[in-house]
Amino acid sequence: MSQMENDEIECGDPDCGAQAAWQPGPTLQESIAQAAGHRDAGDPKALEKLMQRMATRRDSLLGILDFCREPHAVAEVDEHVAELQSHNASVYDGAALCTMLQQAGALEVETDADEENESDEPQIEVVNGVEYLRPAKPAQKLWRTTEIGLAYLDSFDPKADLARLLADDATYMDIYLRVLDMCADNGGTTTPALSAAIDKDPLVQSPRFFAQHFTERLEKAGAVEWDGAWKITDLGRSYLEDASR
Amino acid sequence: MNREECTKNRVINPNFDATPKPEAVAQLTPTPELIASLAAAEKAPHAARTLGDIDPEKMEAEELAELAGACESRANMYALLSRVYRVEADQALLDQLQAANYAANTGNKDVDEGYRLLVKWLGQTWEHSLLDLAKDYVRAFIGYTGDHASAAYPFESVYRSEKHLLMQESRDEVLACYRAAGLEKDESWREGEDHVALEFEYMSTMATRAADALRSADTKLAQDLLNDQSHFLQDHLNAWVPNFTKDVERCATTKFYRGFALITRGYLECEMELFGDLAAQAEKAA
Repeated sequence: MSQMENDEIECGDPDCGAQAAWQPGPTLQESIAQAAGHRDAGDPKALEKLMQRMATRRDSLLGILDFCREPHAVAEVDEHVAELQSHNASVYDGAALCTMLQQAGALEVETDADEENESDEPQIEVVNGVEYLRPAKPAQKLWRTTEIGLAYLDSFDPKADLARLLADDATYMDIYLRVLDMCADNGGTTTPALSAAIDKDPLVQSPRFFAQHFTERLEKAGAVEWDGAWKITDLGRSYLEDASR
Repeated sequence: MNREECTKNRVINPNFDATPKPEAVAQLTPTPELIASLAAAEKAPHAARTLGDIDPEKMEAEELAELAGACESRANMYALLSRVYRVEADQALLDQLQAANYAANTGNKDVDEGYRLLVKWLGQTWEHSLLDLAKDYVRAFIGYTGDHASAAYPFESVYRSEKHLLMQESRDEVLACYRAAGLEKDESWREGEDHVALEFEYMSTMATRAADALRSADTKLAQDLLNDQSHFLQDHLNAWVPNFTKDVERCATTKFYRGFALITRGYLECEMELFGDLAAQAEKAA
């Protein structure tokens, strides 16, 4: 920052220029409210918008909401997020994701029940006749999914979403089933193995698709996951079983 | 409030006299010229300045020691304020603040309220407190729009120049003060020299030197150093920092930074009173 714009300041008092300049205008106040994290406050679709905005982190966000159906200590949630993202590194850690969910109204902080009634006001301690302020012992904070978060979780039907995905892309059903079959193998499968099995298939020559196109869509739908190898999830296995009937 | 009341109410050393100085990450370093002059172990004669002569025969050893102690406390306070505004808070700073003593009644309402807010915040810390503070630091001091009023930019030039620009006359003036004291900015410091953290660090350094001079009964040197501090306080710190702290209160959302804004403003009020009293006493004695 080397230069800033400045409007002309008209003021009779030569010393009041600095004061007059610091009056925020309506645009600035809106900016401050946004920066204070109130962007989503009161917006009933805030959570939905968050999930769209953070599509690549949707599994982590849903994982947090599911984990926090019962209140959990902040450190436990952070650890759970680290585990969820252990094979899918992200710049967003537990703290960042939980804050986003909190701002969207899906997660809230509550105090441990045992410490709920303890005051957080400074205590007075007298030493050698002088009164000093002492901080209260910080109460343990817990994350808990709100009604909004629970409603979203309950409305989320991954099985229906997967079925819809495959129905919409029915032309490639054979390819999808091949991927699911290979991922269902003991120990899963690898990207080179999937490429060898799919990339030369006549179905994917025009338009040209590669194995990654199908694994990404199945991963996004929750049917497969990567943990060092591509493996089928319970959801994917359930679909395969239904499809084979 | 006179000096005796200040001392009694611990205003000039309201806190942190029992705690070690925050880890010194000095942004002001001695110039080569100063180092050379100290190595030669020669002190240039100091002309008498306007604060008034401290006559060692009239001042008892006890009074000198008390004043030295007060200067050390002042140095600690300025060092802490410098640290708070220099960069985001870290765990080391929080640990020091948790261990510090906060007088409940300092005699200055802003300092009292600032302490109350800070101590309340310390009682509400959780696992993400450092993240909360980092966000608030950006919000309060760095801003996120091009509007000059969107943050409390911690530079004297921004507050005192007509167009609120950086690197204006104020920066040149404080740089001259630093150089006169044999200090220059460290290579690692990439901002202007009129950043509030450096101005506080300058005061801390000068207060430490004054304390050392008093303890070695070099009252002429102590007098000059106190005089320099008085001028810097009146000509620079008090000319813009009060407005700056009001902006911090407006822009910051955590009790941490809002508390420190009040503490800073209140402490400068006390400093102005202290130096006013010292000058008045010197006049009386003359």
